[in-house]
Formats: sequence, structure tokens, C-alpha cells
Amino acid sequence: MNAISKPRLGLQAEDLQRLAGAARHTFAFLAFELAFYVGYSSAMSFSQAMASPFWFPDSILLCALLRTPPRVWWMFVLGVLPIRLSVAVPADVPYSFLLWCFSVDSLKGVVGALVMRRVMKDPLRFASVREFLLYGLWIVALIPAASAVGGASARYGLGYDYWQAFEQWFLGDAVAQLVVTPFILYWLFGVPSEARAWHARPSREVLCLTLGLALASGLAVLPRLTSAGFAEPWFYAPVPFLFWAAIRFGMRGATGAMGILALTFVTAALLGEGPFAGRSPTDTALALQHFLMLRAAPLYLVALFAEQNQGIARSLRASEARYREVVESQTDLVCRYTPDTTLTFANAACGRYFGRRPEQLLGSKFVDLLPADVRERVSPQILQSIARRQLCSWDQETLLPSNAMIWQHWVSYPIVGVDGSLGEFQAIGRDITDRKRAEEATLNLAHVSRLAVVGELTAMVAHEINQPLGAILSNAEAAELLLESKDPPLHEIRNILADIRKSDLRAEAAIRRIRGLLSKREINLLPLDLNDIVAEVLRLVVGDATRRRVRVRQDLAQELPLVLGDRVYLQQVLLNLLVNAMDAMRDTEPASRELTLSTRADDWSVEVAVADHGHGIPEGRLRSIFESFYTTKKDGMGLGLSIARSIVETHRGKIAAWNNPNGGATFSFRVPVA
Amino acid sequence: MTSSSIVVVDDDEEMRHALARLLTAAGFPTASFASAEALLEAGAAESADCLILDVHLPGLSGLDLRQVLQARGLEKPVVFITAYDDRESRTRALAAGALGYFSKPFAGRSLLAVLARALENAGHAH
Repeated sequence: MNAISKPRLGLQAEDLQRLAGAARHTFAFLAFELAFYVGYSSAMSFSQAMASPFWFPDSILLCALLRTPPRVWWMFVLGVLPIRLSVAVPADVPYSFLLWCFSVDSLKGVVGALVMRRVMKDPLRFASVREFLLYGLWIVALIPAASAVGGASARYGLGYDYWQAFEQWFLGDAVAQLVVTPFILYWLFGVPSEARAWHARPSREVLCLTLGLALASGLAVLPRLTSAGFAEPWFYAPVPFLFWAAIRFGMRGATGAMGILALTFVTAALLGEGPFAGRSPTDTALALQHFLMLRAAPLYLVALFAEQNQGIARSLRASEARYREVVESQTDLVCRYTPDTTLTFANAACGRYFGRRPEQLLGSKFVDLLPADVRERVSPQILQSIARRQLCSWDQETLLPSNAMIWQHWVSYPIVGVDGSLGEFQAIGRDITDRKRAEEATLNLAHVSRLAVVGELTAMVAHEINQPLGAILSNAEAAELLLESKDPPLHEIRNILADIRKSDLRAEAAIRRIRGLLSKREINLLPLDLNDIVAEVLRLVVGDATRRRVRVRQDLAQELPLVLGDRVYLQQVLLNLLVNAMDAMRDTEPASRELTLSTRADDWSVEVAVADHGHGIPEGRLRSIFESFYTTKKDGMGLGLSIARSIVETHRGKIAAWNNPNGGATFSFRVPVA
Repeated sequence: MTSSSIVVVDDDEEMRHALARLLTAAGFPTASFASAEALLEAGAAESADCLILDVHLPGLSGLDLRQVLQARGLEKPVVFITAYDDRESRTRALAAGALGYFSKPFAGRSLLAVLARALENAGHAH
């Protein structure tokens, strides 16, 4: 039961939806039919001699076609035929004329709708003055003119004057398209969101405007006051209200105001009152048409200009608010200053940092706000960069009021104004405490790792120091023995002293090298040849290698491009790799204990590789081998490789490890060429 | 006794020269070699009364050299010297019956004393 009823429920909902859609479309079509009927019968109520001052049916058809997809246009086009044939028309109008009008009007509607869809972004709205001018050209001028040729010809056939018929026909169409169509578009069809906002809260302004306009329009056509016809000053009373509506409320205001004005004047014209008193029907129609067209055209232009300006102002405001929000919500300190560092702008973060409200900072000098020690160090640099219009940057350590020490990185640079002038400078300060702490941590870790290899180094130190010390001691004792003899060989003793000095210097150089490797300092990148690094590290390691019965094979590239690197830190990395390689071969047959140290270069980097014949890296550990505390060694701390990686990455390089096809592993690092 | 000759094998040139000087000044005719291979090639071990061998030599180590000589029937008194004082080689050296094991830097007088005693014993043996 359930299984069946469920899909049926779904179908019912769909049916309901479809029914509602059909009902909506039917209702819309009926509304169109009704509107057309009212418009057509009112337009046809004018005598044939006068012709309608507004050809409403054109506006109604055009608006319907603009609102609907072209595939249903035929319904609207054919739907008016019964109305046209059934409405009572003056006796002098033959059916052939009605059919002719039907054809011409249908063609106008379809062509007009196609043109508007083509030239306008949204055919229901004038997006710009240009679109309105195109609308005026096509819909108000060209199409009515073309149809007036046909209409006038038909009427000429009925015995009317051709040019008079042309003028009546053309103006009737043109006024309808200029006054009535925009009114329908802006007031009966979808209301844009801003207009809806005005509409939703009928403000006092809208109320005043509407009442004022109604009153002024009424005064303009009151019979008593307008005895002087179109020359009467009262006649112009509505004008200020029209512009008020256009400037404040754009096209919606302008079309609404024109609606009120047109209603008043058409009523007056039908009653033959006010300025229309005593005129012939034809005259009245012409006067009304001229009046409305000359009011509407400039008014709509003004309205569209106003809308454009409002749009620009709105987007400017929105854009400014957006940027202000971006700058203000920054945790970075952003400020601007003139060439003498007088602040002209400071964001909220700046205010928080300097402990004042941003506006209180304005007028102070930027360099004066810096902590004294920083000011002493960087203000010459800032002033020089200002004079040279260059960028400058510095790091500073600052004590906050909360007693926290923070690191900031500042950049100051000249700002090019909209007019291309170089007036102000902008400084951005960023909290880099975390980065600095991380760097320090890396340095500390690197130091720890160096201490971790001290065990290894001790062996090297022993070799490097003990050899010359041993030589010195033996030499000294030999000299003592020689001096005890009867005839001391002074020449030999002199040689011995020279050798002692030589050994002493050798021991000192060894101590210096090792101290350099152990010292903790910042990374300092300079151009260097990696082959030199290899040679220096080999000098340290060769004794240890001999002791461990490890042969070191060198496969060095002839000429390497220089890289930007820190000599000591790269030595540290290579030393780590070499010691690891030798450790890995601890259980290797002495005959196979060979490591190959190679260098090679490609276009952008230089690679140093250490290949061993050790136990290799267990599969699955290759990926984690450079992570902290991972170690393949029983007695290793495992920090060596992770530190090696962070040092190499500080050089913007890459470190890698892989197992060799014929046993053992290769560790390599590459750093970019300088 | 003064004619007892000594052979020094050490790859460190400064050490080798200094030791040869000291032994010569003490009255021992001394020949010195940079490697075990050089000594074997020169065939100087046979005539030597005592060998002073560096433990860590490139190629054949001092300990290896001692074994090679023993294999050839040459039981010479040997003193090992080394720049790396590690327990393993000290144990191996002394277990193999070495006269002494000195880690650099060492007091020349101690070495000379060991040599004097060894060569005196050797002399009595002859």
C-alpha cells in the first residue's frame, strides 16, 4: 500500500505545481487580453478623424512580448484578433482596415521585442542612457515611422490626407511607446530591489512628491487658472515635481510621475478643459502628444543619469567600505605618511599597537612612534628610502605594554596616487614573532643536533688534534735528548722547533674548524662552490673513515655553478650524511665499505650525493626518514636528518633519500644556483 | 743493544718524522714508512728488532700488519700507537701480545722505557 501511495503523493505534488503554473500562465494571458481590450477600446473610442493620441495596444503587446519567451508569442499576437474584430468601431472603419492594422501592429510588436532583446541587457529595464537612446531610436522613432507609412497609406486609401494621417499615426505610436511602455515596465512588471525598498516604506518624501505632483498637475489643467492656455505659468507647475521624482527616484519615479501627469492631462483633454479648451479634437490630440513627449524624453534622460550616478556612488561607497573593512580588519599594521613621516592614515591595528585611537595618531610622525632603539637604527634608512622613493624594510623587536616581546617585519614604500604623483608612503608592519620563534627553534634544534654528532666529532677531533700534539711531544722530547748530548746539533734542533710550530698551527686550524661547526649562529647565505664544502668536510672525515675502514670515492663535477649557501650549515648537512653513511656500513664486510661522494649540476641547482653500501633504508620508512626523531640507528638521536632537511629547505633546496639497486642507500641534497 | 734497529709505520708525516727523530736521538737506528704496504715492499721488517705501528693505517691496519708478519713467521716485538683511543683496538692489541699501546700524544720517555725493556729481554733471549 505504502509503496504505491508514496509515488502517487509525489505525482500529486508535481501535478499541483504544474496546475499552479498553468493557472498562472492562463491568468497572465487573460490579464493581457483584458488590458488589450481596455486599451484597444479606449484607443478606438476616438473618432477616425482624430485618431488615438495614444496607441495603447502597441505598448501592451510589446510589454507582453518582452515578458514572455518567443515560442509563445503567437498566442499573444493571435489572441488580440478576436478583440480587434469584436470591439465596436466607428461605422466608417472597414474590416479590411482592421485586418491591415492588425498585421502592421503585430509586426511592430514582434520586431520591437526582437530589437529590444538584442540591444538591451535586460529588455525590461534601461540599464544605461545608451540603452534608452537606442530604445528611443528603434521603438519610439524608426518602428512607429515605418508603421505610419503603412497606416497612412491605408488611411489614404480611405480618403484621408496622407501626411496628416502619417503624423497622427506616428505620434500615437511614439507617445504610447515613450510614455506608456516605460510606465508598464517600471510599475506593472518586476520591481527591482532598490525600487522595492522605496516602495515598501512609502516615505514622507514619496508622499509629498505624489501629492505635490497631483496638485500641480491639477492646477495646470484647472479651467479657471489656465485661461492663457499653454502660455499660462501654472501650466509649468508640475515641472519641478517631475525632476524631483526623476532625480531622487530614477526611472521608477520618472515613469510614475509621467503617469500622474499624463492621466491628468488626458482627462483634461477628453473633457476639453484647461489648455485644451476650445481646440479641435485633432489639435487637442497633437498638443497632448507634443506636450507629453517633450516632458517624458528629457525627464527619462535625467532619471537615467541620476540612476547611473546613484549606481556609481553606491558602488564607490560599497567598494570603499570593502577596502576599509579589509584594511581595518587587518592584524597587520597599516599606515600612511607624508615625506616627513607625518601620519595621514592609520588602521585599527596600528591604533591598538601604538595604544591610541587611530585618529589620535594622525599628525604624529611615524619615526617618532618607533621605540627609541629601533628609531636610532632604522630612521636614517627610512628617511633615505623616502628621499630616493624606494622600498625599505626592517625587522624590529618590540616590548609591548603587556610586557610581551614581539617581532615585527616592516615594509615602507612610496604610493603612486591616482594622478601618477608620488605623494605619500605606506608602511605595513607584520607580527612575525611566531616565525622568529620557529627560526630560533630550528637554530636551537640544529645546535642540539650538532651536539648530538659531537660523539662522532670527538673521534675526528681526536685525529685532528692528537696527531699534531703527538708530533709536538715527540719532537720536544727529541730536542731535549739532543740538548743533553755533548755537542748538541743546533741545526737539527732548529728543524725540530720549526716542525713543532707547524704542528701547532695544524692543531689550531683543526680546533677552529670544529669550533665553527659547533657554533650557533644565524644562517648567512653567500655564493659558494659546493665542491669546496665537500673538500672541507672530507678533510674532517677522512681520519674517521680510515679508522672505520671506509674507502671514500669522489665523483665530483669539474666546474660547478655557485650556489647561495651557508658554508657551515651545509658542511653540517654533508657531515651528517657522511657520518650516517659510515654508521650504516658498520656491519658491512670491510672490503665493501665504500661510499661515493658525488656532485653534479643541472640548469638550476647543484646536487651533492652520498651513496653507501650499508643496510639501506627499510621500505616504507623512506617517506618518514627526514622527520624528527626518526632514526635507523640504535644509538642515534634521529635529529640529524630532520635538521639537515630544515637547513636544506632554508636554502630553498630539497633533500632526498633512496635505496640503491645494488645495496645501500643514497642521500642527496640539492640547492638552487645563485 | 744500541745497534737494535726500529721500524716506525705511521701515515701521519709529522708524527712519523718526530718519532724517528726521538728514537734516533735516543740511539736507535730507525727506519720509517707511511704504510704497511710500503714496509712489506721494502722488506725492512725482517731486520728490525722492534716495530712501532700506528693502528689506523690506510689499507692494511697496524693490527693486520702484525698478523701478516706473524703468518710469515716474524714474531717481532710490537708497540701500537694510535690517535683514536678506542677500547676495541686497545683490547685487540694487548690480547695479541703487544708490548705497549700508546695513544697520541704520549710521553716519549714511556715509549723509550718500554723499548729498552723489550730489547733488553730480546737481547738476553739471543
